[in-house]
Amino acid sequence: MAEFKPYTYFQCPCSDNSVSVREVGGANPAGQEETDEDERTFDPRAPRANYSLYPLEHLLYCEDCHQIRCPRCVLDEIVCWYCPNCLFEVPSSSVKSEGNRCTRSCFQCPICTAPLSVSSTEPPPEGLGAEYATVSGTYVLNCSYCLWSSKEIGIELDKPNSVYAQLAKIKNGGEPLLLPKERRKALEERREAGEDGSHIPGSKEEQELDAESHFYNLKSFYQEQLSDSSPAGALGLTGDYGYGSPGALSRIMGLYTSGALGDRKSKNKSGTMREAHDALEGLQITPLSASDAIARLCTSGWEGTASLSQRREQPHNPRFVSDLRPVANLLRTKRSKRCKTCRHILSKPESKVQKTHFRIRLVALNYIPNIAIRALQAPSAPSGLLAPLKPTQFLLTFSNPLFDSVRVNIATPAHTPGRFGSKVTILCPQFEVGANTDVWDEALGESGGKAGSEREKRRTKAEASEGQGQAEAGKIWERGRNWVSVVVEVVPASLRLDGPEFLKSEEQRRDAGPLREDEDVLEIPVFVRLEWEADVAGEEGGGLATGNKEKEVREKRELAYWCVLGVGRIAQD
Amino acid sequence: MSRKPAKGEYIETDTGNKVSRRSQIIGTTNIILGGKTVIQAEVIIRGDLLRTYPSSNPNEKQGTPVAVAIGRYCFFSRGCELRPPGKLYKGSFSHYPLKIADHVFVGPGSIIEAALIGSHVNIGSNVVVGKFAIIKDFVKILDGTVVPANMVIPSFSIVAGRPAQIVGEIAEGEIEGFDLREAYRAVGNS
Amino acid sequence: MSSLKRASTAPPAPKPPVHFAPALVIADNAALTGTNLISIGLHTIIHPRAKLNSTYGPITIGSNCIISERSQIGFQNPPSNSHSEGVFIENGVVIETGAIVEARKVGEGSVVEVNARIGKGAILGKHCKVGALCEVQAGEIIGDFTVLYADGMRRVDRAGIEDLKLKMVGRQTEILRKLIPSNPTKFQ
Repeated sequence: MAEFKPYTYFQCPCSDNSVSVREVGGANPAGQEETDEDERTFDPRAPRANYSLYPLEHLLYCEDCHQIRCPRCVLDEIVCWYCPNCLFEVPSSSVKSEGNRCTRSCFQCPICTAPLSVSSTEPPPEGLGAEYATVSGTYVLNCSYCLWSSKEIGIELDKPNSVYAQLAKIKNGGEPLLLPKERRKALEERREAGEDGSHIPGSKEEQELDAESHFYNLKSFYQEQLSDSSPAGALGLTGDYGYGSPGALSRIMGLYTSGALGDRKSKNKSGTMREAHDALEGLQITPLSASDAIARLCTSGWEGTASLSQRREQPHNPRFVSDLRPVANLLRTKRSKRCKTCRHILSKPESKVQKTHFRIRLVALNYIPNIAIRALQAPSAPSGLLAPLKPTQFLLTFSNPLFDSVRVNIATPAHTPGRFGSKVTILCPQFEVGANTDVWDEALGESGGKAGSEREKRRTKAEASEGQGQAEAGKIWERGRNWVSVVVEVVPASLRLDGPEFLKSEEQRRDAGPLREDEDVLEIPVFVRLEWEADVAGEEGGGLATGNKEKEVREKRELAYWCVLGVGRIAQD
Repeated sequence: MSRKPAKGEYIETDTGNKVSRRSQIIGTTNIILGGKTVIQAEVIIRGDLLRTYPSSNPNEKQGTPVAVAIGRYCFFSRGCELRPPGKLYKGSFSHYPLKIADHVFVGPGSIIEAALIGSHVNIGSNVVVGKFAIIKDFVKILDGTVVPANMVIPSFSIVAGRPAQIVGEIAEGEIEGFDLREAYRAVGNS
Repeated sequence: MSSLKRASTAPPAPKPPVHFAPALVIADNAALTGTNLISIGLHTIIHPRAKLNSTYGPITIGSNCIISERSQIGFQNPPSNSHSEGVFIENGVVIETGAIVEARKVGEGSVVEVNARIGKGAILGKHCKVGALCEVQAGEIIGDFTVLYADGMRRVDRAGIEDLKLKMVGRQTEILRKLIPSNPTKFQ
């Protein structure tokens, strides 16, 4: 079993409609809070909870709304596109026209997804001056991880760069594929030949279309049909205008020219569109007899068939390994994130690919206190599991990143939700955490009033955890410049499913099944409420000519949210 | 241990590097340590696998050839290995220098044969990084990954699997977690 | 910052009888232990900290091989009856860092990648590649040209460039010979 690392997950208020956040701290409805907890305690085991809990690093903070934003309630906007392999930036116009894959030389091995490298088929030159000899000959793509080579599918390249373009022209087996221009020519030639009546329906040559030709034939066929069927004159539009079906076009026009007789006529004139008849027009019939495939299967065996994950990467869904082609790398994006409600940008990376720093980065880590959990004494059981029905104490450390001190109220239901409710007691539900001032600020005595009263000599954590000092209700455990630790006592529930009826909780009676996965993890939902006063500079600066400082208003701010503390696993008894 | 514990596990150099006495560093003249780097016990660094210049141009900058260049605040856990990669290029086989930037953490038992590792990279335990891989900044490689040779891992990725594939992205809030100054301070001679 | 080796207080491990080819490179720090014969062929390179353990069976290594650091050749624990013929490594084999090779035979030109493990009595064919962290069970017979990769996937390599690869290994050994100071007399 992997070691259990205690975690804290925060719930973004966007998903929870019941808990509202009050902006300005007016009359403090403490009573109302109690009912909030009782009625709507957060259940970390609810199926929806999984999607709304995030570790603090994943959360952003909107300064305008003064709210936490999770990845679900931000809008992503793409700053730039780049290839993750060659780190070459691709302009978004290219992405629209050529697709979202790298069009240079970045390919993945179709067998194992490792990167492919280009190498020459000629043996390396020997003797003196070897490094100056130009390498000639053909090139192949090979994978250094599974040793696949494009020779195995019969593809050899002429030059070592612009592999994408070269690959587009070669099929597996070395025969040339057709470019769109050539395809058009070939299509027209075929059509002329076909109109002579000499084409044989069902001939093998025509029926087998690769994906590109198939798409191209179908597209030109439907374009023709549209232009034939939708009347150009009545609507004033040719059939090539957009891809709206003739029915829709005439209906919309009819709305504007309603009542006229000409309207009915235009509807009738739209006519019927037919479907493709043969391969020339894009019809591809699935071969009903699979004898070809079966014959191939018999020769190549199981190793010759492509696995599901290999097939999924290929555009043409091949069955056999010899039909696999190198996969071009998907492009990756750099995205900036915006708050959904106020459209404020929360995170904006540099648009250059090589630069890794952010222009704007409003992360929740810099605004709300981080919570760290640690067992107060080392767990008695060697496996690190919590012993059931034995009171264990945990230390919660709140570290405040703000430049103002914060008053924290924490609350938790008496029993953790779920089938096995463990008893939880917070020994100090209300405390104040100091501001994150620099050491120099303190020393120079600047605005030392806030921090002064709470300044205590900082004991090392090692001393404190040595069992000195009993955890007392109402008192914090330890305090530092900008952090405070408090003790939480937990009595883990027993995981026994048998036992007398009256000892079982209601849920247990309802649901008497065996222990499910992760049901033995002790998770404590905690409701955290922060209050602090922030400096808000006056907005109007026009009138005041003198004075650097505008009127500073201390605004009371509040923030409340649920978090889940994953504390440990309960041992089975 | 035959040495008295009073001497301590780590030797601290004047630039602040903490090197364990039980590390196995070969070819120390060709290794550059940036400063404040921790090298734990049983770490192997092959400084002897130098670039063998092709016979021509002996007049070019010789100086001290560098096999391994490491940045500041790096942390090499127990049992890991740094090895300059080598390949056959234009007929001759040569090793190329391995360059590692700042704040790189390498987990225990990992073997690194990359060409270039960017800054703020966290490599898990028992990871194998293949030859000439390029790892850019702010990358997290999970435990047990095998990075195939020549792979390029772009910035802000989370990489796992064999062969390694990008399985996630680093969130904006996680980039402070890559800082290794605390880890450096925690290493002591006690 | 030199690599200070602490003097071992345990009794020195038994020096095995060895049979070295003349143009051999053995690093000073390599560890050869055991009681059975270890014979190493021409032009082979043994990196520092490689461990050849012949306690439970003889070890034969061909020519032009590269045995990287921290790799362990030879049985680690007493074999069962059927697997006691020792380890035989043919020519041109590359054994990368940290690999554990207990195979009966490793075919010519094979590559055993970083941290791979090959169980006792296994037979590897020619020009195989055992990928990083892959395992070959004891007694398995792997055909020629097989590639093991990922989490146990296998395929047959048909690229047809074995000669090229053997030449590459030859080049590599030439260069490594210049870089690693050899000290065969220490072990004889």
